[in-house]
Amino acid sequence: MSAQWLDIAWTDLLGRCHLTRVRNDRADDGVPVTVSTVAAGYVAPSSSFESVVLVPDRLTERPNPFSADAGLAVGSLVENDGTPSAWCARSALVRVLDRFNQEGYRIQAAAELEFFLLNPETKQPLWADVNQYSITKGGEIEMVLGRIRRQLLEAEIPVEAMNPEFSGGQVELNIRHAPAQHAADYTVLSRYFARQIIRSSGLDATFLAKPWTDQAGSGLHIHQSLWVGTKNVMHEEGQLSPLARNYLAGQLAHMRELSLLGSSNPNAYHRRAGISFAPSAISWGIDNRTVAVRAIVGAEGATRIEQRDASADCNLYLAFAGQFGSGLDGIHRGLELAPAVVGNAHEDQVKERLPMTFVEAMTAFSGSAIARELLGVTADLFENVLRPELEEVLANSSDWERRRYMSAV
Amino acid sequence: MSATKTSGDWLASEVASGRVDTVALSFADRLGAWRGKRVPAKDFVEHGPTTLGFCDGMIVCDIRCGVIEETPFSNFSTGYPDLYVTLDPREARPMGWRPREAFVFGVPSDRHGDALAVAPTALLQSVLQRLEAGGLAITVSAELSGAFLGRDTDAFLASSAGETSHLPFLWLDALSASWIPVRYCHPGFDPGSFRLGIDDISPLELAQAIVVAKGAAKELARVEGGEAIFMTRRPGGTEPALLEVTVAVTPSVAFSTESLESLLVEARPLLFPSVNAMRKADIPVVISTQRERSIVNVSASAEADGATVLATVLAAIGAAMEGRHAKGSRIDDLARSSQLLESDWLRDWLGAPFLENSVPLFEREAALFALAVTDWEIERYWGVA
Repeated sequence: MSAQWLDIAWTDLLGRCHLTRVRNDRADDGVPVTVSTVAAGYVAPSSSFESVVLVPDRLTERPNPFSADAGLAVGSLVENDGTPSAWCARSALVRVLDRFNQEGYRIQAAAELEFFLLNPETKQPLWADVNQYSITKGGEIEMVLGRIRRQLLEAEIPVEAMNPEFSGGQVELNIRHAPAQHAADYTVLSRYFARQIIRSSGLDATFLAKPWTDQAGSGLHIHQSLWVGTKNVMHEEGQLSPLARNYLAGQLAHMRELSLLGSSNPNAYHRRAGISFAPSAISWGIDNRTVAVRAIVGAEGATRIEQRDASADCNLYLAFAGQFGSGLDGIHRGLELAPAVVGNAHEDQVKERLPMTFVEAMTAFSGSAIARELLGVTADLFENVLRPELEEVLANSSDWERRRYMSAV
Repeated sequence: MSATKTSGDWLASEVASGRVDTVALSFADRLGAWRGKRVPAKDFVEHGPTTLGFCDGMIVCDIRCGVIEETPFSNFSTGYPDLYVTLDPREARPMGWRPREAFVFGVPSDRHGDALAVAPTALLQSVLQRLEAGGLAITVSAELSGAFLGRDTDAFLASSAGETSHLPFLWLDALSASWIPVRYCHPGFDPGSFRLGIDDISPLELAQAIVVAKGAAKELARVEGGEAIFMTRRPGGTEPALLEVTVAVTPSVAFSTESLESLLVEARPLLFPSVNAMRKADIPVVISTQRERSIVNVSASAEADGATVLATVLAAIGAAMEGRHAKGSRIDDLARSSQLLESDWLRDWLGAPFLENSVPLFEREAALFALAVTDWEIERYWGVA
C-alpha cells in the first residue's frame, strides 16, 4: 500500500532544493508553486503571484527513510497545460538529454559533492586541522557521515564513498555514476538530505563555494562519459576517442560564457583566486588537476572527463545541462581540441581565463547564444533572477573594504 | 597485505548477516597517517577487488597535506594526478572499536599497478624481497609509546605515574578485536604516558598495525575529550615517545653494532622525521646473536611512519651485511637532510625517488621552523631584549 503522503523534492532557479508534502493520491494533479518562490524571491512584485505547477516524476519514486508516512519523489514544474515550465531547471536538463537520446547517445555522470561541517553556534568549521582522506578524522564524525550514507542508501541513492576533504571541517560525498538524469536527481537529494541529517545531529553544514578566504573552497566536480548502448564511446584504443575530443572541445569553447551556470553567486568566484585547487584557465589535460577539465583515460568503462569548474552550491540541473549541451555542440561542429596542458595550468599565460568575478560571468552569459540555444527561455529567467544580485554586489560595501581602506584613505 | 588472522570470506559473511555495513578502504601515507574513504560494505563485497584513485600528492605531501613544488613526484606542475590503491575484500578485518565497520589496506601504485617507489609500504616490500632473496626470514615486534592527554588543559587523561585508567585498556581491546597481535599496554614513566607492545609479526603487518594503533588511539582519546599524542618530545614529558622495533633475522647474520649504528645515524631524518623528533639525542642500537637468529633492537620516533622505519632498519641490516660503511656525518638538523642523497647505501636500498621526495619535505619543515617565532622565545626574551 502506498504511503499517505508524498514528499516531492524540487529546485528553484538557484538550485536550492525544496520539499513539498502532498496527499499521495492527489499528487499527480499538481501543486501550485508561486513564481516568486521558484525565482528565489528575486522576481518583480508583478510576477510574484503567478504560479507554476509542481508534479512528481513517478519514475523517481523511492523509499523515504526520512519519514515513515510519506513516499519520496523528485518533481518538475509545468505550466497549467502540462507542458514543462521555463522556470523548471530540471526540465531544461531533460531537454538537453533528449537531444542525446535522439542521436543515440546516453550520458553517464557522477558528481563529487564537497561541503563544510560547522559548529552550529559559531558557524565555524567543525575542526581546524587539515585531515584530507583521514580515516581517523572520518571516524570521529562517522556518527553523522555514517547516518548520511545509510539513509541515502535507504533512499536508493547509490552513495559510493565519503571522506574528510582538504580544509578543516570539509567533507566529500561521492555518488556512483548513473544515467545523467538520475545522477542530477541523486545529487540534488543528497545535498538536501545531507544537510537535514547534519542539522538533526546537532551540527550545521554549508555548501557555499568559498566560505573562508584562507581555506579551500567547495567544488562540484562532474564526471561524465558518453555511451552508445553498452559501449563507452569516449574510449578508443586506450585513448580519448575523436568523439570525446570533439565533446571536450565543445565544453572548452563555451566554458567561459556558461560559467555562470556552475558558479551562480559572487562568492563562487573567490574559489579561483591565485593558485588553488579550483581551475582558473580554460584548459584540459590528461589526469591533471590544475586544469578545468581533467581527462581520465583508463579501461573502457572508466574513461571519462571530469569538469572541475562548478561550485558545490550551484543549480545542478543547469550546470549539467550547460556542460553536456556544450559538449554535444562540440560534436555537431566537429570542434578541434587544443593540445592538452602538461604542467601547471594556473601558470599558462596563453590560455583564456575563466571569469574571475560574478560581473564578468554575468556579462559573458548575457551575450551567450549557446545558453539560449540550450536552455531557451530558462536562460533569460536565470539571468533575470541573478541580475538583482549583480546590482546588490555592485552596491554593497563590504567588511573587507572597511578593514582595508577605512582608516588608510 | 594479508591480515593476521585468515580473513577469507569473513567480510562477506559479516555483511550478509548485517553486522558490518561500512568498510574503510585505506592506505598509509608517507607519514604513516591512515588515509582512505569509507564505502558501503555491501558494494565492496559485491564488486570484489576494487581500485580507487586518490590525488597522488597525498603520498608526498607535508604534515598539513600541503602539495609543494619541490617534491618531483607530485606538485602543481605535475598536475597531482591519481595514484591507485587496489583493495581486496578477502583481506578486510574488523575495526575493533567500531562494531559495524571493517577496514582493508592496499599499497599505492601507478596506473599500471606497479607499486610507487615513493610509498613507504612499497619501499618496505622491496627491501623485504631483497633480504628474502638472500635467504633471510624476518619477523618484527615493537613497542610504541606516547601519551593520552587532556585536549584543552594539561590534565592527564589516562593516568598518573604508576596508575592506569581505562583508556589504554579500551585501546588494547580495540586493537585485539582488530586482529592485531597486541601483547600489553602499560603506563610509562610520565603521567598519561603508555607503552604498547605488539608481538612478532611480519614487517608489513607491523607497519599496518602501527597505522591502525595510532588512529584508534587518537579516535578513542577524542571520544573521551582528550588527545593521543605521539609527538616525540612533549611539554612536561621526560621520556620521548618512541617506536622501538625488534627485528629477528633468521638465520643469524654477522655484522657489528657499530657499523649498523653508523649507517642508521646517516639515515637519521627517516627515523626522526620532524624538528621536534630530531631533538632526540641518539639511536640506541642493540644486537644480540642467538644460535639460530640475530635480534636487532632500534629506537625511532613514535611519530615516524612505521613502514619507513622498518624499511630503513632492514635496509641498514642488509647494507651492514654487505660490509657497507657510512660516509656522511650525523644529521642533527633537518635543514641538512640533503646529506641523505649522498648516501650510497640509502640510494641503493631505498631508491633515489624516495629520498628525492623526502628531502624537500624535511627541508621545508626546517625552513618553516626557522621562520617561526616560538612561545619559548617570547617567554624567555620578551621583557629582556
